[in-house]
This record gives sequence, C-alpha cells and structure tokens, in this order.
Amino acid sequence: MFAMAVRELRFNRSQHVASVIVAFLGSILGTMLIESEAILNAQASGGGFFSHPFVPKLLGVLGIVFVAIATFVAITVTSNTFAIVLAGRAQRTALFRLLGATAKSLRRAVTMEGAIVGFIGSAIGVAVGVAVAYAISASLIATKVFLNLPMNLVSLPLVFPVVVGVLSTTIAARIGTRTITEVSPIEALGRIQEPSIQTVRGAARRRRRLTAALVIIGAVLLLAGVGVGAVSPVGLLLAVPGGALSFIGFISGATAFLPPILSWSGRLMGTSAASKLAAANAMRYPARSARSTLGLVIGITLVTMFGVAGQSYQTEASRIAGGLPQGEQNSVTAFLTLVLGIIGILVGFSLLIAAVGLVNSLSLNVIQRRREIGLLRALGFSRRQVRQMIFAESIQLTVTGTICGLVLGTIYGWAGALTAISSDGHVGGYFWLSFPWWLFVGLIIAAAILATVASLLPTRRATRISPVQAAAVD
Amino acid sequence: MYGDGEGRVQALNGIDLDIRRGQMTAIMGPSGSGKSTLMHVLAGLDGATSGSVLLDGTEITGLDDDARTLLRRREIGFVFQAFNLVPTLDVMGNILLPFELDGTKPTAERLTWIESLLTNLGLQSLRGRRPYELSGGQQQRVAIARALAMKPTLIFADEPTGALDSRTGREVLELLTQATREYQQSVILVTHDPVAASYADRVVFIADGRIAHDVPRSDAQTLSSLILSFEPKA
Repeated sequence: MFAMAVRELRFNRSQHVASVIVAFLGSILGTMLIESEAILNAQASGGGFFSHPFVPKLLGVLGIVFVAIATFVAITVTSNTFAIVLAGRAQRTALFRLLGATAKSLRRAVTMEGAIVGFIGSAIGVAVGVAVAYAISASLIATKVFLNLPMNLVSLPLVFPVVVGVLSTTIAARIGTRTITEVSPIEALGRIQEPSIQTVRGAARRRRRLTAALVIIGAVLLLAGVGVGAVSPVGLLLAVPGGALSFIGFISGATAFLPPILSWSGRLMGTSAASKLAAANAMRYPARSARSTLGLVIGITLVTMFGVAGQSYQTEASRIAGGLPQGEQNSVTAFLTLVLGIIGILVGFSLLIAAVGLVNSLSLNVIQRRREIGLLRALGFSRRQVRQMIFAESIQLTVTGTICGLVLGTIYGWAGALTAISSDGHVGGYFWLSFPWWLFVGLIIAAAILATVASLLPTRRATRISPVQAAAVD
Repeated sequence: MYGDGEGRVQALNGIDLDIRRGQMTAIMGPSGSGKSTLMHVLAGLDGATSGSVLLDGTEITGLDDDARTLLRRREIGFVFQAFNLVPTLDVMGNILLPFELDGTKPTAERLTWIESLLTNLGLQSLRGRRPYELSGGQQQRVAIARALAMKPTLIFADEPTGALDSRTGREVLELLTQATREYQQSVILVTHDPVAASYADRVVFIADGRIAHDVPRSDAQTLSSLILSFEPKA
C-alpha cells in the first residue's frame, strides 16, 4: 500500500499542492508561536525589553486557542480537498476494486498519501518558520530593539508542529476517503456517473441522525458555554467544542440542503441558456457543488466569527473606557490595539488556509469537468457561453456560501464574545452583538473575485481543447 | 430478480446456464436484454434476489463484499472495452497489479509463466512502457496478460474489441481463443458483435432476461440472422 501511495504522489504532484500548503501554513504558525515564546523568554531572562510578564502569557493562551482553530480549519479544508481529488480518481478506484482491492486497503493507501503530504508540508513549515525567526530576531538585535543575547531557536518543541501537521493531514485524508466506500467495482465497466441528487439525498438521509445529533449536541454545548460565560470565561471550554461539533454537523448535512439553495440563487442570474444551465448544474452534480460551496462557507464563517467577536469586544471595551479618566483610557486603547493586532495575525493564518482550500476546490472541479464542457461544446455551446455558465456558477456559489457563512459566523462570533467577556465586572453581563459592516462588504467582494478567478482560469484551458478531445478525456 | 421498490425491473428471469471449463462462451443479446446484468451476477459484482451462482462448485451469491473482492482478485479476470490499465504503472506493473493487491509476491514458477505470456502476446519489448505510450491493441494485450497472470478460473471479456479497429480486434479475439486452447482458460465473451461471437465455442443469446438460444460455434452470418430474428416483425 505504501508503494501505491508513493506512486500516486509521484504521478500527479499537483493534486496535493493545496494540502501541502495547508500543512505548511499550519506548521509555520505553530513554529512562529514556539519561536516567539523562546525569543521573549530569552529577552525577559536577560532583563530586556519584554520583562513585562503579561505579553508572553497572552501569546501562550491565544496561541493555543488559535492553533486549535487553525488545525480544525486545516482538517476541514484538507478533507474536502481529498474528497475532491478522489472524485477525480473515481474511475481508477473502481478499477482497483474490480481487480480485487478492498475499499479498506484503498482507503489505507490514500490515508498514507495524507501522512506523507502532511509531513512534507509541515517539515517545510518548521524550516521556514525557524529561518524567519532568525531573520527577525537578527534584524531586531541590529536595530537595538532586542538585547544581543544567545537565543536557542532550534529546540525540541519544534517537533510539535510536524507531529500536529502529520496527524491532522492524516485524519483529514482519512475523512476524505469516505467516498471510496461508495465506489462500486461495476463502475469500472462503464463511464462513471456523478451521484444524482437522489443518491446524495439518500446518503444524507441515512446520516440524518448523526447530522441531527451533531447539530443538537453542538448547539447545547455552545449555549451551555454561553451560560457558564456569565460567571467565568472557562465557558469557552464548552463553547469552542460545541461550535466545532455543530459545524461538523453542518458539513455532514450540506450535500442535502446546499444544492437547492445554490439552484435557487442561480435562478436570480437571469434566463440565458448559460445561467439556466448553471442553476440546473447545482442539482445535477449535487456532491460536487456542495463540496465547493463548503470551501467558501468555511472561510466566510471564520472571518465573520472573528469579525463579530472582535467588533463586539471593541464596542464593549470602548463603552467601558468611556467611563474612565483620560490617562487610563489611553492605556486601555493601547492594550486593545495590541490584542486585536495579535488576533488579526493569528486569524490571518486560518483565513489563508481557507482561501487555499477554496481556490483549489474550485479549480480542481473545473479540471474534472472537461468531459462535460467538451459535451456542451459539441452540442454547440460557444466558449463564451461556457465561461458565462462557469461565471454564473461562481456567483451562485458566492451568494450561497456568503449567506451560510454570515449566519453561522455571526452566531459563533457572538457566542464566543459573550462567553469570553460577559463575566468581566466592567462588562456586567450579556450584551448585543456588533457587526463590522465594512469587513463584510470587503469579504463579499473578495469572495466573489476569488471564486470567479479560481474557476474561470482553468475554464480557459478546458475550453481550448477541441470538443472531440474533451469528450475522450477519462 | 434485480432492483426493488417502485422501479423494480426484472432484468434476469429463470436463467439456467452452465459455463464449460476451457471453452470460450459468448453471451450475445440486444441492448437492454440483460447480458450486462448476467455478467455482473456471474462475476459476483451484483447480487440476485433469488437463485444461485456456483463458481467451480463454490456458491458466490450471498458472499459479503470482502469475500467477493478476494474472489475477483484470485479467481476472476477482466478484460474490457476501455482498456482500463492503471496510468501510474508501466506494462509490467499493470500485469503484476493483482499480485500487489493481494500482497503476495509471484512465485518463481508464476514469473516464468508471466514471462511466457509476455513473449506470446508480443509484449517483451514494451514491458517498461506506460499505458499512454501504447496503441489500443497493445493496451488490450496488456489487459489480457493481466487477466491471465493470476490463472483465474474464469475470464470475463466485456466487448473487448469495441474500441479497436477490425484487424486489431481479430488479433485480440485470436489471443483469447488461443488462451482457451493452450492454457485451458475458460472465457466468457460478452458482445453484440456477431463477428466477435463467431470466435466462441458456444454462443448464448439473451433476450428479455431469458436464454433465447444456445448454439455451438457458428459463423458470423448465422449469428447475425439469429440476432435479426429478435427484432419485432415489421
């Protein structure tokens, strides 16, 4: 099986580039946190600039929370990527099954691919992270911000980012291989078909109990966390896993309810042949359309969550600061800026991971659709119409993904802010959420541009080949 | 019986068929006659609501997925219309794939057998090539070698000439016939091409899920008129 995994990796390197980048980003985040702690400790022990004990402590706590979030996002994104990669390999999977490979052994081989991909990505992440830490501390020493102290930047804890990277990518690959069990060996004898909305709904119905359980347990935990939050921020220990569980529930049910929403939003795009086809495609290829929408939902939820939490926190803090004397007001504002700045950097990593996943899932999807595009071309669709169709699909994806992400993110962000700070004496209980409007406008524009570019670029390549060639593509 | 619920379709009905060892048996029939379903059931790819399939005396209907997988790996070979070689493997890798999936190393005796197959099928000089570097006929010869390598009880050839020009198609059919003569290999040829079926020792016609005719070796002309007799009279 190891040989099979290595062969796949060598045969088609590009399919795993996104997963390598995701593992790389996660591990570079972990490495930077470890290194910044090492640097700050060294500086503090030397009696230097950062003798204040609060900054390393803050970094430590926030670091753990955000590494956990980044890991969750990475697992979600990578499992989605693996599901898409395997959808493209379905024909070969069916052939292996026909020739006598068990689904179990095939899943094992792909999981091994995940482990290798995770190792490569996270090992590079650690190497780059250490190099960046050296460069930054050297330049800070040169500019006399830091004391010239010996700093040990290559330490044992650096094993952690690699271990976490390998584990999370392996788990993600394992989850992504679920689709292998759905491939029948009979499919090797003919042209493989995308599962229909009935099949997909049937599968989702069989998972209905699991989905409902995840959503309900998640929601209960989230609410319990908010409840505990009235007394102590420890409630986060309930709210965070609750949020994660309910989001997994959302993913598990996504194939059943996302395609109709996509199709509905597609009908807003007008009645040209290209737009009608785009709206119909969401239902015709439900698994695929749900998978690519999920990529966007993850990103929008993340940004909205931190946007709402950060904005609510800021509003509350400003309200409290308003009642303080001028001198204290300034120090509170400075502290606020520092906290929001650190959060911003940490969130940036998760966002980047989500964006990589989105771009990759969209472009892989178009590449896997060469046959379908060839058929449309053979039936008389112009290149322009194909592009219009893909464009209309990107817009319906953006609309659907944005709506879902905004709703989920607002709930999670508000719940998070309530749990974290309502117990504070100054805040004095629950508060209404604040919505950072400018962020959402930017977000929607960015999502639309990303979705359009990521799907239209590969479309150019797909329409350049002749219809006959495209129809013959396996 | 195949399928259930509202869309219940009876694809096969009352089929009693004995496939003889060391022979090539062709299964013919118009589209929708049930010949594909019959092949799926015979190969243990699909279950049947009633009835049984015995392979070399072993009941294969009702086996679980793992057991059927093992059966396909060791006892059944497949050759298809789309040559279905693994693009990541070279010719030799494709031929040895069933062993790899089995997690076993071919014995020295088996390797000698494979070498002789390579020679007989004219693949010696191509052993390091990748599928995309081969012509359609060459790819089909590799698929035949892969099917023969495991010395399976039965080989299914599903429209093996469907994607080949007629001269290459004839060569492939001759190779399959040769396998039955020289290695006592049992082959089931599923086709709607009377020329292909004329290479078989026996031809079974399926229509509406039943056996309509069961004839010994016949020429393409005779088989054609048998097929035409199924067409509704104008």
